[in-house]
Amino acid sequence: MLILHVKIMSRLTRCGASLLLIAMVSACATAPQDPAGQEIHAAKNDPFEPTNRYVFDVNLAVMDMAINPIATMYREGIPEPYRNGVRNFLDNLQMPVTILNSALQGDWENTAEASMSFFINTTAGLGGIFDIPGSFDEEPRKADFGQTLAVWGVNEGPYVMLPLVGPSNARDTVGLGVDILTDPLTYLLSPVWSYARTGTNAVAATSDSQSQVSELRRSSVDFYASVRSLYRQNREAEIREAEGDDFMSDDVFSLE
Amino acid sequence: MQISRLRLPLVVLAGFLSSAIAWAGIEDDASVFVDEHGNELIDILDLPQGADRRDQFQTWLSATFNLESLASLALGPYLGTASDDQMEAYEEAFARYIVVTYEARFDSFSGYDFNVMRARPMGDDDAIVRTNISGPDGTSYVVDFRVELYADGTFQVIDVAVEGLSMLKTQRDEFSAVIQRDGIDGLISSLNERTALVEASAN
Repeated sequence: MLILHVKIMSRLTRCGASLLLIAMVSACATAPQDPAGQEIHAAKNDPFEPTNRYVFDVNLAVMDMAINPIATMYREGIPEPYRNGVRNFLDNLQMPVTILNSALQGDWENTAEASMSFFINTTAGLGGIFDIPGSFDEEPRKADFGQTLAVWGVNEGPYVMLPLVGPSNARDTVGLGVDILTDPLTYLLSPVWSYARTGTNAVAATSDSQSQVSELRRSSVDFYASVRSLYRQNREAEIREAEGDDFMSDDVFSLE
Repeated sequence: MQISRLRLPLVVLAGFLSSAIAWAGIEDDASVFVDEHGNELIDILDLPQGADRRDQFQTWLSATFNLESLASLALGPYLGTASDDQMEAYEEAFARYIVVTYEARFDSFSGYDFNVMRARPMGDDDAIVRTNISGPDGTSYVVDFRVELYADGTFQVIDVAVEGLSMLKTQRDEFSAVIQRDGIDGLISSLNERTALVEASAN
């Protein structure tokens, strides 16, 4: 449910890390004077909040104008089995990055699971269109370089809202850049196919979670703050999983 | 005389034993509570849309969640800063907001399956119960409930985490952002506004 909102916002598109500069420029939030306000200010870890909120509004406008209408047509016009095929195909393309980062994180089980699943789906699953269940009980978790940096002890750094990409932080933005550079498809696909992959990813992910995201948006008293909180919690859960910790930990419910 | 002298240590022993049993079994009792209430919800969500489903959902929500506790916890560091009048207005707005928005969020949910997987204690009177909820389309979610045991032996839920995302934490972060900008009164009017908006779109 909720996790999908964050995933779609964060993996909306993949674009150059140079866009980070735009988010970093200008307006910083000033720290409040009262104790409660100061506590909140420190906890939310968002020194570029005014700029981030502006970028968030622009992202939402792009979603509303371009991606949401296409995602609706896609969901209504294409039967589910075909949409599942597209999803499986796109997910399979992300496997090399998952395999590399599972290994860098020292998670050999996931490295093996992801390698096996990539091999079977690419061959027997005709390029990943059919998801052939492997000999493992669970699907491999997705791994990226932002997680790897976290496992290596790098702090998240300030929260940033990336244009078109969505919520991130300094660490995960560097991670995203490295993911693009270490993805074999970056070098194999021509720019047109790269854009096609990015666009289809955005549309397919949006079509899956559209109704839940719009429900959350309608009911939120501050949608920007909700997304910021959810992004952070989602990353924390992924990192705990990458470190082999069960996410049934006190951290999930601690209000620190 | 003889009897009462004998009875006293027995009562003390029995009391000690029963409290020891209750303490040792908090996660088991909490699991039973979550199992019962979770399956109740699944049945309610399977009802046809309409007034009956709405009423039952509301009754279920106020029996399962400690809305007063949730309201206080969601204020985070701002809890002590509200006046009594503000607190009263806030609690009222919060309860309606939760009922209406969650009803809308669960609107399209039906045909789900609910299973308690395991539980563990978290402190003396808290426990976390892990469940798995699977949908008709094959999707499944890990949902953790944080339940609190009260002095009268009853349980209530004070937080739910879906795939590691805590409802209370999200709400607290969101509410804090609004209070910082517009104060407690601003939060109360925002909650009322959203409740009205969601209600209008449901009709």
